Amino acid sequence: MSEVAITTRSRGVARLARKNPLLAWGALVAAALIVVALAAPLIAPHPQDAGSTMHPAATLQSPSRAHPFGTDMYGRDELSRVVYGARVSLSVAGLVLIIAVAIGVPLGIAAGYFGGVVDNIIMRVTDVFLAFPALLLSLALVSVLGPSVRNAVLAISVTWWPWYTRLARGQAASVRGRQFIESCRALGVPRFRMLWRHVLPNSVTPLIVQVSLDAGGVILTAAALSFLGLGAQDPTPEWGLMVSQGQDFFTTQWWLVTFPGIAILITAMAFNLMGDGLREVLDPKRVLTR
Amino acid sequence: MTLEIRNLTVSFDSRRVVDIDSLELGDAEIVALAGESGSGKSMTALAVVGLASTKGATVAGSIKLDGTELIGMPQSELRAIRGGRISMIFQSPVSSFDPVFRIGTIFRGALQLHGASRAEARDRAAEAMRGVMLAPELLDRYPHQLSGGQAQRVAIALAIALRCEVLLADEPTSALDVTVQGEILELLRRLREQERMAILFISHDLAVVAELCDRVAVMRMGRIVEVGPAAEVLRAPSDPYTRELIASVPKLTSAAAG
Amino acid sequence: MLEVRALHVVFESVHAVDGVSLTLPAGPFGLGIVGESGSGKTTIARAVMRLIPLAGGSVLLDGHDVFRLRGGALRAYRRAVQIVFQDADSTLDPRMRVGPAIREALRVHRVVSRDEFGHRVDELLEEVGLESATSSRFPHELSGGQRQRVAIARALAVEPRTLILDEPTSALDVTVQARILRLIAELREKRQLAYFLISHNLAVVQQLCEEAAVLYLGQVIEQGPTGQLLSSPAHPYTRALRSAVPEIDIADRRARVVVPGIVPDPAHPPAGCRFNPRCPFVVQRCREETPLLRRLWAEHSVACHRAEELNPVLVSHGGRGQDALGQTPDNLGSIF
Repeated sequence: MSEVAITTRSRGVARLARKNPLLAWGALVAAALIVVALAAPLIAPHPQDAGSTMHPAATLQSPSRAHPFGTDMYGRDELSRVVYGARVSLSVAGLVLIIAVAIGVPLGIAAGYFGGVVDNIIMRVTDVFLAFPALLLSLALVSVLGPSVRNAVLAISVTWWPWYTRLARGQAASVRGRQFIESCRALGVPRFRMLWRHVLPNSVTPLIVQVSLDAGGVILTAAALSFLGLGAQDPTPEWGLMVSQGQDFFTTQWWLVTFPGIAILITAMAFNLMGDGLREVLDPKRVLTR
Repeated sequence: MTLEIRNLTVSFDSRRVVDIDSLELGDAEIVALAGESGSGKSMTALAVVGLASTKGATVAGSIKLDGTELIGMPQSELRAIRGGRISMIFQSPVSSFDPVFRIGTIFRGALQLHGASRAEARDRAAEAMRGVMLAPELLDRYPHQLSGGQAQRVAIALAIALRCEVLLADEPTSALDVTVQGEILELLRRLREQERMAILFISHDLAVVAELCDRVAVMRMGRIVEVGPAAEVLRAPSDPYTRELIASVPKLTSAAAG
Repeated sequence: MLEVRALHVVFESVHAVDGVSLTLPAGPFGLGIVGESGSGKTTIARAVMRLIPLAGGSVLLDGHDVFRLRGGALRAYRRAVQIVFQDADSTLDPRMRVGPAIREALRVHRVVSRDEFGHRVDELLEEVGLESATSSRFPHELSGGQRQRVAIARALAVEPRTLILDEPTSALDVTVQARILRLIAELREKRQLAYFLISHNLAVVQQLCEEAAVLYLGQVIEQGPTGQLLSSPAHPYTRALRSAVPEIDIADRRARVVVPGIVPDPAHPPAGCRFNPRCPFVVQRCREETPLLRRLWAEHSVACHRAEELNPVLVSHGGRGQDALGQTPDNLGSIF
């Protein structure tokens, strides 16, 4: 019984990969990144180099068998730092998106479903947040709060949630006009249950897609903040910070910028591909009738 | 004019949705393709105008218009026939017009495409509108400014203006109110008499078929289960499915109440 | 008893429903509401379900004003009166399987205790002619007819006395329609249901309703026992509607009463009788004075100034359809 279930599921995955290679590649790379992040101590050849150790004798070595990505200006193994960087970037993305979704989606659903005054109040507040360019607002916040990974997460979240409010509001407003909602009202389904069991599940598809697309964006923003010196601080192995530190040596020690740069690129692209793929696939009718 | 369908099959991947051995449509004849949803009746019409393949279907067999084979004909030649000799009207006429153009512009585009000059196009459009009992002033309107009945008349007028020989009407009255439906059926009848137009009338409503059509082909799961003169088939159906279909139509029993 | 009294519904200054009064007695009883698009028939349904606000009039259940009910009393109303919409495709939540959708109705109104949910869902599915395996399906995995059965089961789950059936079969194929109509006829007897049946199809109304009301531009223009109304329509519009129905059997065809023109824009209804611009029998009075719905004889009412004049036979004989009427609709027996 369970065997049958497993084979049909794995067959489903194979078919998905054929039908939607974007999603398959995106998800594969994203999954690989998560594995790398979780298993960083096992993968990194010199785990202690992700911290504040220094090897004055081995600074700025070009890639070799011992240090495939070379070493930085403190002699730390660049590969180990890039591997640990996945932890930082992914947890920043995860935290920001959890906060943005947790604040933005309930507000948006309420605004869209109830409409009227509730909608007006919620949307005016989000408009205020959206009035400022996102990166600028983050920069201002971090410069007030002080540069650190935690503050970068807070600052990015503050600029990110209003987009989820908008998206969720639009979805909920369109779901609200559909007949099954009317039929539930005629049945006397209580308000909270209506939102939780009917409006939310029918609004969730574009939200999932957006979360996936945004993961790349958040990582880029976090990297940008770090690059500007307002995010992670040395010795935190953050990719943006590593690029920033490496730029002084770019003409001679190319590996310092290149490897974390590639890591950022691959990660952002993987989540984008996955988001695009999900958008195509996540139509319940298409998935379930096959 | 004769339209002859022989051994027509339309399939998606390995699923065969239409499998018709033989069906003919003669001059000034109204033939019904009757059936329920999924019976393949609309797909048959799309195959005749060469549009089934654009929906990803594989079409095989033979469809001949006055002896000219339509299947396998290049789309460029088909386009001249589609709209030129064969026209199609749909259930929701308003949405079958491009919403950004005025009705007059749609007429002019279609007529010029089929070789009419600008002035000729204008005259023919106005004449066709009068032919379906609409004021030519409606040519200045946009599709959404028409009622459902008006839009269906306009669609028919377009077929008249194009001097079509065959009209494929896919559930043309199903979305209309019953009083408006009566007017459209009347119009189709006149079209056949005055313009000698042959009509393939696709419908799920046997009562409408009974009122309008000369012959009826009852379709089920892609196949024609019964074909014959409409009055005969509907009075004494030989196929059990046709019988069920007829029995299902709710009837007004005025005699019992009178 | 469900009553609609002098109902007015206004959408953006358009009087979609303009002074409609209807009374639905205890079941089994069917009252058909017949009209074409723009007649306001669906609006009445939504008003009765308290889904839209009223501009005037009231809806009463056993004498209680439905629009004043709060809390428990409103919940009780929702249990007493349920609705089945036209398009079951969109009345079921696409993300919810059939079982949970029906269970939701049971849960919201605590119809049975939690551990009986599964059993009751099976019973309801069986009652509407579906297998219990249907409960694990999503709506889009079902056919149109099956979906409408699920919608009916969900409405019946709360054990209502009254149903609003809003074009319950007009989106379905004829053979499926016939089966759903049969199901409604069965349930009506079994559960002693009273219902408003909203339809554009006169034959469907005749099959399932003792009484019928014809709507034109938001007003009832004729009302009476169904058989009587259809065999001897007194209002010119009802006649036109009746004669426009296509018939399979040539013997049943009637001379067509053609009504010229289209239904006027409800935002600017004509003065006097609303049907006057299309009426073949129009006189000056019709353009000036709005005819009120009045009794022509017994239970048969009509809103036409010239009703007596145009229907001399009907008035002098006290209605030809009277004896054929009885308690059940003419056709109910024949569809079992």
